[in-house]
Amino acid sequence: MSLFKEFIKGIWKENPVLVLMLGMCPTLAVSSSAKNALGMGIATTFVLLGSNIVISAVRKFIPEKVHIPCYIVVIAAFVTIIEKLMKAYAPPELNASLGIFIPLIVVNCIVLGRAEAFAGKNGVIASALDGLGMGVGFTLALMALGAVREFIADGTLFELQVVSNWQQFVLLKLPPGAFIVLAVFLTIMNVIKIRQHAKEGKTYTPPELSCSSCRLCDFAKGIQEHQN
Amino acid sequence: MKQLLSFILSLGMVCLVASAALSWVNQTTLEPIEKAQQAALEASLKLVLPETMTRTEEVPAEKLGEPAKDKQGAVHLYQAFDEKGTLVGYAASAISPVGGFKGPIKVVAGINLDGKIRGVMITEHSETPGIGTKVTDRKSVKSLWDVLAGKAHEEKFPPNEFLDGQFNGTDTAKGYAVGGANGANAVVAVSGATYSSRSVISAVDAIGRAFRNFQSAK
Repeated sequence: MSLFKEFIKGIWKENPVLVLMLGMCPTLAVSSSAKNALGMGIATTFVLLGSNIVISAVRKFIPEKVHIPCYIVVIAAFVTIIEKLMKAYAPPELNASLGIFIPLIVVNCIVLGRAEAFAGKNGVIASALDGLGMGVGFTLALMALGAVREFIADGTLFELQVVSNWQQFVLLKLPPGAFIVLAVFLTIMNVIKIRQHAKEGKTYTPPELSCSSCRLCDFAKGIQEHQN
Repeated sequence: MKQLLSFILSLGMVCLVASAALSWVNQTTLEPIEKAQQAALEASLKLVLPETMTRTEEVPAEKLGEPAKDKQGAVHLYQAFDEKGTLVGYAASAISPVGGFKGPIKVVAGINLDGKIRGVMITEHSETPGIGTKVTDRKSVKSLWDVLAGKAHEEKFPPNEFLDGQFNGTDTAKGYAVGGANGANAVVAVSGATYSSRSVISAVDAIGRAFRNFQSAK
């Protein structure tokens, strides 16, 4: 049951995009259509799963002070592997639209964040499920954003026309559209949470937007202290 | 000192294993990647060439006149043959010498035996969706309801107003320029997508020049 919880938390309670606010760069860049979002989500899920498994397996052998470089190497290796695999076997049009974003998964906060916050402290199976759950949550959030943006911009879903004679609204396909739609999504998330808390008689305060699960800043502080 | 050694050792081990895994993946995907790229090129050539075409043969680069110094502007020219081995047309691919709004554009053009353009398509670009893509994308609009009802049919070479209207049937020998300077084919850039249009035009012009050199060298 607790293992199932590790998987399910990434989808809603700790959704990487909508709750943890991690991985904003690919979220804003690739959510211009549902199809791109799906491709990016699957690629990121694979990297998350792989890196979480490997990192949790080797976590006891890696000294604390070099663990971030080690994690980066593992993540970069997985990203390069998926890039090669996609080039070889994925449909060419998906490659063309995702090509430049795949290498960017290396610096995706979600991947490093989960390695730091979860895989570096938990067992292999729990970490695998955490990675999978986070990946699925990321994919779903991205696809929801992508579907809304694509529909409002072109009146299509997965490049299939839903409404004919749609008045094109290009703004939503461009980067500003990503910010607008994301803001609307976050508002809806908060409203739902406020209602839920109100039902239980509590007041909801949104979490302070810190890098709570990323900890990269702590690491940077550590370096500074070390230098001083 | 001992601590430092353990740092070096553990990080070195991780790097070693990672690079071993990568070199293995690189080895195994080398061939499929090449095949996929070849298949993508062949598929795009097929779209701009007559249907009777069964195989293509690349023309050696030295026959295309002065070789392009850098990658941009480099043209590959292909001769297309039908089943019986008779020449049915030419196709060329080029990376635009003049960049688009966000980088170079890759263009493939089919040329008839008389040197007139048969069709132009864009195989790679990074133009702004909804603006620059007006001149680059050939996108067929399929309705979701048609697909669900099973009525949708695949349109292989959907029309594009700019690419079809400005290039189809024009004589490659004259070259291409916005406004048509020096007797070149006059091309009208799409308003709002001037950079993208110019980039496409420069690529087709490069293809035209290479084709002209090839014809006169024969």
